[in-house]
Amino acid sequence: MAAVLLEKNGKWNYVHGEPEKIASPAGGDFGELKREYDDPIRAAAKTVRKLRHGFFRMLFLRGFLSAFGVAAFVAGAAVLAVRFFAESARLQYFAGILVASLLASLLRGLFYARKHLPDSRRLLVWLDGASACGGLLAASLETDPGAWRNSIQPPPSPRLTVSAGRGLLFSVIGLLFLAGALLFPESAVPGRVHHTLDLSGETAALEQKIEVLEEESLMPEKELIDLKDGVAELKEKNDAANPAAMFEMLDALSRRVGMAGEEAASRISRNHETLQMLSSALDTIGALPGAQIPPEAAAQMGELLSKLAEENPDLAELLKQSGASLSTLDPETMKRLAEAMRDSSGKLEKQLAKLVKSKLTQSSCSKPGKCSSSCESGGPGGDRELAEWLEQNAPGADELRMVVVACMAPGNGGVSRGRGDAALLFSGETPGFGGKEVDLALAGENDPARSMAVQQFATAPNPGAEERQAAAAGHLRGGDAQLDRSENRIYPAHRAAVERYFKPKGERSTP
Amino acid sequence: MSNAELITPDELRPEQERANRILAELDRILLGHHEVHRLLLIGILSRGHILLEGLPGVGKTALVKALGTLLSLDFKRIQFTPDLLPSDILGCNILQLMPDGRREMEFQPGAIFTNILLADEINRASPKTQSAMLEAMQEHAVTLLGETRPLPEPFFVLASQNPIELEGTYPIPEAQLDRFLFKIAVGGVDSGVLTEIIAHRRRGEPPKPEYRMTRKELEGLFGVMERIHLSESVANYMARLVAAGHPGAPEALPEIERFVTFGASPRAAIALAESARAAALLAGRPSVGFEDVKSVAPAVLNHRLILNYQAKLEKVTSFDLIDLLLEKVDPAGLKLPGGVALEPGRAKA
Repeated sequence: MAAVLLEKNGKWNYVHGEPEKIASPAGGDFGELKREYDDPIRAAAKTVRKLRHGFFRMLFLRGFLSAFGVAAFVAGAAVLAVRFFAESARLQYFAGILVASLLASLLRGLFYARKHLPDSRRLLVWLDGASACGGLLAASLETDPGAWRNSIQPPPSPRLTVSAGRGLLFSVIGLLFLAGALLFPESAVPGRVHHTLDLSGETAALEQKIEVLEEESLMPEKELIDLKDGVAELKEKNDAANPAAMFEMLDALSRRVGMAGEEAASRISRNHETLQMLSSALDTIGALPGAQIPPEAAAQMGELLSKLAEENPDLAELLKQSGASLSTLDPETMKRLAEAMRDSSGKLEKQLAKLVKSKLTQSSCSKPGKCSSSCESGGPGGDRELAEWLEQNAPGADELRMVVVACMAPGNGGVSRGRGDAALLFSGETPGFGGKEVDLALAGENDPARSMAVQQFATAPNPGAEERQAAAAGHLRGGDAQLDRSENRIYPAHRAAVERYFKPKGERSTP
Repeated sequence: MSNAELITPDELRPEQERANRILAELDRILLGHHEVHRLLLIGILSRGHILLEGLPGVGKTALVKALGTLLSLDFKRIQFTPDLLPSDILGCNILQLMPDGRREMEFQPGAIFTNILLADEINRASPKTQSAMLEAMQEHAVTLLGETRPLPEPFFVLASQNPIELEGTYPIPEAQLDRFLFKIAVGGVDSGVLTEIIAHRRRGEPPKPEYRMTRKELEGLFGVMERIHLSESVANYMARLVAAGHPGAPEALPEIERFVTFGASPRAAIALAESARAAALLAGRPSVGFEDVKSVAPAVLNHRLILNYQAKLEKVTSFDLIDLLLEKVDPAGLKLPGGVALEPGRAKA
């Protein structure tokens, strides 16, 4: 059977059948015979090509398997050697060994396939012998078969069988050996070199933090030495065989350093706040003319400073350096003290920034006062905070509070702060001079007598009926016209509304 | 092994038909020996001498006679006996009285001066007598008293020997044995063939030939033989086949090393090539195929492999070893590594 390309009505078509019949079709309507499609020799050459490809694949696999067995044994031995003799059995070494053995096996497979791959001529001759082509295929290598070409039966594709044999067995055994070598527990290696965990980064960070604490004298020396010893012990005992214990030690040290940092930051923040408050108070008092400073307030200020100095060695040192007499504080001394406190406060800020930079405290605490709840009340230095601070640190020092807290009037807060504990002192409390404000309850919500004028201003005159008639008649009032007065008042009803907004139910003074 | 064009089908087919007609005639005249007839015809086309080995009465002489008749060739028969002399075969000078009264030695040609010589029971003659045919078989000439006389062409020796009656026989010398192209074992026939002979042939007389080839036609056949293409690959296969039969050769099989004393000579390779050509002609092919080589190899090689006593002890025959050679020697000479096998595919139905 052959397929021949024939022309019919100007078109070329493949026609299948016996070559002779196709070449001279009975109908006679076929045209020129263009070329034979299924040339048996070409088909044989195609079969040979396919056969060679099959040979190459099989031989490559066989060569690869036989080499892989050996390579796996060598790689396994190398892995064991690394485990036993190398200083550190790192994964990269094993990966390198595996890749090298695989590459070697692949190369061996390629060389083996190339070496044993039969050439096309021999395969064609083999096909001739195997398919009883009568030597015509072999003869076609030397001469043109001519008219005998069509008598050749296209040889069927032969079957290629390759037994992996020992190669496969060796490969499997080698692979098992390699797997065993890779899975061999390192702890079972006698005299194995001590492996350490790579904690260099962590210990370096710890040492840096301890150094910062030491530089800034933020920790007692004994504790510092203890921490340093802890880090040194961690380095010395570093053992990869017991990573849990190592990381536990590291965590404990990190916690201690962290806590020390947080404590230091908190202390600095508190000191900073104290200094800020004191400097603010001293500024306020010191700004007053000497005659206007109530003696009680000055005395209370001195007491406050003494008290805080007892609790705060830094402040005590500062006061000592200033040489100020706390019992007789004059405005000049107060100004000097305020200045010294501001300077000290600046230094504390820098110290805190250093702690933040070395990650000894949280970055959100980078500014003094931010770590405490006082942040909620608008930051240090404000009147309200100062008043609160004085209440806490100097209870009963009312005169001082009156003097230094000038803006304690209600409504001084910002809307953005929301609900707070600000005292609603509605009854006209004023930073008085010796007086004490009393809250008065109004009789009724709209009682004008109990209302309070909060603002007065001039307005345009409001003409009455008489003036309007005169104006309509053309009589205008000239320069003697006087302005009208207007005022805003707060009635008890307004107070209830304010309380509803700002105070919980049980604490309201109005229903 | 030339780049010459192959003989065309039109040139080959008439010759093939003629050769096959002879074969058919032989099959018709002598029943039940087709393969022997085929090999005999191949031997004739190859211009080789043939040794027929078989029991008495199996039709050896009749076969040779029939062949001579069919090919229109002269035929003579010599019954070899222990007292047969070389001169009985080759001829001799006899003192003759000339018409003028003088006496002169005149050559009287022996029976060998023919086209087909049947040397019946050749192993009964002495080695001296057997050796007398050496030159004739190889050179197609006879030398007596220093004078060489050519034999008529074509010249074939068809010898027969009895394999069982060894008493009073002389084994054919190896040198002479090697000159026989084929050694063909003529076996018995089955009962069906015997029935046919008994029933249809009065006193076993074979029927008269219905076809006779002329000398010219025979020459034509010989001419076509020259044009049968022998590719280098097939020649290489034959060479490797013969070489593998030699103990000590690199290609020798372990069995050959064990059982063979001497392998086949280069003459065997030549004989193989010629007979394969003839086999291809009979099959109607313009070139020698591997199957042609395989079909004639046992006949060519069986008498050329000299086996040792170990083979005789283990009852290993030369045919067993030849079968082994044909099985193990790869036609294409593919040197595949162990475990890799290539098997012929199945042809599509």
